[in-house]
Amino acid sequence: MNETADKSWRVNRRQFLKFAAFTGAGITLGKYLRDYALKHEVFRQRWGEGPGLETFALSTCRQCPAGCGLRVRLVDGDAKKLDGNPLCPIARGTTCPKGQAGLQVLYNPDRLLGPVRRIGKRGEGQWERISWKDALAEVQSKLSALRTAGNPHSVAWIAERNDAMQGQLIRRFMQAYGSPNLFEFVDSRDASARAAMKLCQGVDEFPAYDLENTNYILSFSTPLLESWLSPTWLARQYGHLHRGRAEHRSRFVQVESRLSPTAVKADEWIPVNPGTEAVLVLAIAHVLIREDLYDRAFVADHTTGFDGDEGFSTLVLRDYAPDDVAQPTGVPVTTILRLAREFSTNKPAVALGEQVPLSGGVALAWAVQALNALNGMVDRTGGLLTQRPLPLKPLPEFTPDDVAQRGLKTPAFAKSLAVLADAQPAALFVSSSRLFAVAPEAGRFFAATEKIPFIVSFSAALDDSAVFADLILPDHSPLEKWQDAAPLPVNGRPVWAVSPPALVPMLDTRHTGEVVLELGRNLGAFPWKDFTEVLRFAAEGLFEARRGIPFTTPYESAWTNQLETGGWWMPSANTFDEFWEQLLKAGGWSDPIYNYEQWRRVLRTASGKFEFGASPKFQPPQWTADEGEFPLKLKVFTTLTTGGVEDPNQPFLLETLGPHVHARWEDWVELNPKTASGLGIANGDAVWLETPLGKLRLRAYVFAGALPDIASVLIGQEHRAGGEFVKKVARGVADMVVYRPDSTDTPLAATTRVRITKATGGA
Amino acid sequence: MARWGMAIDLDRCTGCQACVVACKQENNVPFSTPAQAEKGRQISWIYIQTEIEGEYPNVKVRFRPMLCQHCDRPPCTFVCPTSATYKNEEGIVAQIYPRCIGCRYCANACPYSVKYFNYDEPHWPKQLEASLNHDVSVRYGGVIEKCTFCSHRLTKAREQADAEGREFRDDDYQPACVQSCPAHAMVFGDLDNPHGTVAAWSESPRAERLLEDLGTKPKVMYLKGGA
Repeated sequence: MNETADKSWRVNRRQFLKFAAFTGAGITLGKYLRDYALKHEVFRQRWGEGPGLETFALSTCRQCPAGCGLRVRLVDGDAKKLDGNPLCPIARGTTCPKGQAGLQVLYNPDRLLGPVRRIGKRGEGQWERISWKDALAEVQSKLSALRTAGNPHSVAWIAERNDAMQGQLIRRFMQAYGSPNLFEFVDSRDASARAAMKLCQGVDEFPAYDLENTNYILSFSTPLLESWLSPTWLARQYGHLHRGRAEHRSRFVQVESRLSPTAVKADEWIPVNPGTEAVLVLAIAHVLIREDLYDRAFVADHTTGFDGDEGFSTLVLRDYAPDDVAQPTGVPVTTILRLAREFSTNKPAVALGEQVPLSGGVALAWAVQALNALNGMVDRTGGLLTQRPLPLKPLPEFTPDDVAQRGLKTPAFAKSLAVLADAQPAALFVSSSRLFAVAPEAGRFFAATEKIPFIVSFSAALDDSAVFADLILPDHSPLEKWQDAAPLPVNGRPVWAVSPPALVPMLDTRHTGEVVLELGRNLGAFPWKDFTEVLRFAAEGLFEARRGIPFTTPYESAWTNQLETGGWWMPSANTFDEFWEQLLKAGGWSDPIYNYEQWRRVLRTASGKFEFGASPKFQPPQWTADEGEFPLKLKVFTTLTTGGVEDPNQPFLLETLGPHVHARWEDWVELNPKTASGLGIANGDAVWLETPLGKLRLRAYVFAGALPDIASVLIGQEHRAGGEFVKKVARGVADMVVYRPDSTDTPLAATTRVRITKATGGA
Repeated sequence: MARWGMAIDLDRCTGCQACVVACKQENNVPFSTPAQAEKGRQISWIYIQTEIEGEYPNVKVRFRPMLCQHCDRPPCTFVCPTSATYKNEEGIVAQIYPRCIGCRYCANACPYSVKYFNYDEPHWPKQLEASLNHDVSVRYGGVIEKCTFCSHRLTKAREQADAEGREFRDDDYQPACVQSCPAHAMVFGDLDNPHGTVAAWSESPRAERLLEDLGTKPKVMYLKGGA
């Protein structure tokens, strides 16, 4: 470093700051990141010219809700590589491709430099930089005006479902403010599976699966090796089940209306007509009952609603004979019989019925739940588990004031994007933009944003949720902030990841958790000084739980499991401060034990038994529009590299989208060769995809694994704003999907008919 | 001297592409643009090769992570007019960029099609430059590049062992793809070490080498998938 060079950079910095202060366009990083970074007195002319000091820090991956522990390699303070934290029980030293691409989130050229305010019309993209003080003052004044007018319930918040502390703070804030309209969304799980758990077991949580100990996986359209649950954990289990155990290889059957990458890697793929999976499940149940293959002891001891005139067995035997089901599902009778026999004789076996991003509906989830019960695989080794609670210290008791009490009693409208738009809230906060990329008929919401007077986004870049906002309060990049994660149920064992920032924030961004604390402070909702204090507070619960350990090696985890099984527990630390240090050094806490067959814990219905309950009357899928006009059925999917990603503006992911059809840098439709040739479409042609809601131009891939008369289309890439990379490719397929929710407000997948026509010109 | 090799169990591999992205991040592989990808000019030292067989409904698709096979008799080195590509004493087929004149003979000679030509100058937005790995040189337009088994990691691991005053062990070093694999489908090590995992895996009755009949003697083994 020489003096002259140093000075010239400083001049640039001043010029830049001047520039940034006056322009509406200069609000993203653009080519000025280097100069801006100088604000923190870090001097580097170009990469690679520092002393080359290598350090490692722990962090938590936020590319999807799974919350894998990360180990960040830094050289001279710049992040160079992300790998899994070897001590994290989910990641165990590896990551999925999304985790590997995480640095493209941190160094995304489209990140916002700081908070901005909209000038000009909604959607025009005209912004001005403002200070955090002004931005927060503006939000506070809107919030207090609405509360003073007695309308706190007209404030809605769209957030990621997050049981960790940031999510809990948002819940508490909405409670204290007085609005029931917090819409928590997660697209790595099927909400109807949670509804089925509630119906059958009285447990209001997603199911967990004991995949590491199972022998046979029967998956109904569950994207096991794509964007479901926890990609890193699932890949490890897949390898383990196939080749991890000597002389013992598990079998994995995928029933799906498309040869997805999951179906490719399954031992057997069974094509099924879309939307009819639930019928197939019940036909398998029929065979189990008819051939007396079900677990009689479990059904007798731990279930209700099986026998009797309206009982499960009566209905299933009457309505779902394989002969009747073969035609609507397209699955031959012999296959149904074989699946039922394999499933019941290769225990432990588990059935999965979670479709993402759009759902198979509660009918499918319920049928799968019932099938697992029939097979006696509820809360048994290798079966369907119930998540053990994570003993974080609960937030202190809090009584909302009268205004809030009244607001909380109003009926909630934030159940889906479409309903929320129709309700026209007075103010909307958006802390997760994922919903906008996968919600059917999202266009309806965007059309309605004109009628929402005040919208605040916490996006770090100009993504789909930020584009229509009035104020953007950009969050830090995950690697730059204090984080915790309480992953949704995976294998039933509670996990809490916690990590300090791996590097100093580069930009004038602020932790959304801190912003929520600030907003809630006037309401007396939060006694804490900052977010770190919140994390320490929560961790006290773990310290006092007298179980579990900070993340550790597989050997130590297994040892702790053994000890706990024998009723022993070894404290890892004598004081909380020591424990906290251990947590930060390891990256989190987990409790590796699972006690099977704790019936009182996992069967929390009024009867204390598994309830086959309500009639398994299945509604055949209702396809919108006329078959003559729209002859094909639409099947949507996301890939592993797009599923759950908050900001898909990551070139490494965009160029690895669909290896099974060689797709990259695009949205596409997969067509069966016969269907395609009937339409005069060749592989790689540009086509128009038309639904009753509109039309889009896409590339068609003619793929032998596509079902006849079904158009399989990728959804989940943002398209309204999008950063410099993703905007080149995303088309917005979600807008073309007809919104039809099931009884639990989960949007169904099998709803839309489409027409495909060849477009002129290249793709 | 070690003889480095890799084994990939296709019965464990899920085709997730963690290896693909890990390699790009580790080795400063420039990401493509839609236009480059359209022309087939995307660079991926390792990628998922897809084979599709049969017709609906009897269709079988196979995924195979495809990378330089680090042949013991590498055809690419025989045709290089400048000795830019050569096999080093540990069996790694290496590429010396300043020597490469961009004739692409090697890319054509490679039966596995895993040598990549830089048709354009690589480009990163300024801010993404911060994530470039210092240990790996950035290539420039007009040269061939390929998988190096992350040999920069080998150099570093040797230095580390020296600094710690101990013998270098073959498990001191593994490439980024192997490290990242969440399914534990890839193993790496010295093929001459009879107690190593790679040696054990390559003894498997499922083990195969690609296009072995060409006499290339590849050092990447694939263990067949399926039951």
